[in-house]
Amino acid sequence: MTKEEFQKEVIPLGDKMYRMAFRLLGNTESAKDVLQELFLKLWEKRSELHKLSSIDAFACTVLKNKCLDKLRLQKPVVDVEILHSLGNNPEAAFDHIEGLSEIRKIMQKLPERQRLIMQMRDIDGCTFEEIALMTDTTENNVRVQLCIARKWVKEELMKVYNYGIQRD
Amino acid sequence: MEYKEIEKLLNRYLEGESTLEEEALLKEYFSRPGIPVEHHETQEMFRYFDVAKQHSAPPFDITNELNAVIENEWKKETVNRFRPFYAWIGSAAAVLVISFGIFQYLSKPEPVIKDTYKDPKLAYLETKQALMKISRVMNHNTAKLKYLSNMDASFDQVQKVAKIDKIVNSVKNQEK
Repeated sequence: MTKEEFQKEVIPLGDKMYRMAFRLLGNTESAKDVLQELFLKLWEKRSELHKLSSIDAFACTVLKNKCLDKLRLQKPVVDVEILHSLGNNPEAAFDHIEGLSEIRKIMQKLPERQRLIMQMRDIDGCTFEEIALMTDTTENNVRVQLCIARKWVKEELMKVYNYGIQRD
Repeated sequence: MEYKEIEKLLNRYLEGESTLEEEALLKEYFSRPGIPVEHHETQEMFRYFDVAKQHSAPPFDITNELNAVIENEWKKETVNRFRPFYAWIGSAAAVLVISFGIFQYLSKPEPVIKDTYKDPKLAYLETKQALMKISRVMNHNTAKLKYLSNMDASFDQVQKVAKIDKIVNSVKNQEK
């Protein structure tokens, strides 16, 4: 793969990769570091990228491992489950936007794994394959978790908005 | 889009079966004004996703950043690829120059005295003939030089005039 092909085919993956790293790591600096490491690795392997069935899937796998390495360095406990126990909330900054603080609170109440999956899908627009790779599970499980999370959030929101309102 | 279609899509969405394209349609639909009141919470949900997406956008230009990283790597590799090549060319050139010098030095022929004639008598006669030729030319040319000695004699005569000049000067001094 030439430099031009790499810039055309691989670099556009950067935005989504950054978003996923940001979800897992919870801060801009770490996400940026991991993103650079990922692309250096992809650049190193550029001669083999065309042989892969999906560059995207390969990038996800590398990204996940790099994120896990980063998290292990950040926390003394070595535990793959760390990935799923992240309570970060990058959206806290827009609490002030009218009406949205309620749904943000509800999202925060979701089990971490479900929240992560729902954020990756509904906010970041990741595919089921990408989410499955990043969260070490199957695509089917991603769908199931997503279904549970979405229904629960909707129910909770209905409770908030219908409080005091009697429907037919 | 038909309201019923939306209801169907929404169901698929809640079941975790919708595609990204279908979800984009839903987001677009719920961002419009005049959504039925019973969908208020769904509308808020999609509004939240949209705002959250904007807020979690990278605070730097990812494409630029990554292009710079790759451009840098590419330059490093290009320099490294040609560095041994340059060194090789340089040493090869040095070896060539030095060996050429040594070759030149070694291959310079030593001056040696060699006989050009096998018969010494013939050699003697040839030498004599050559010397005679030279002397003949020399005699012919030196004959012309006689005029020069005549001129010399004339200059001696002129010197006498200079003597007169001297005498005149001394006489002048005495008058003073």
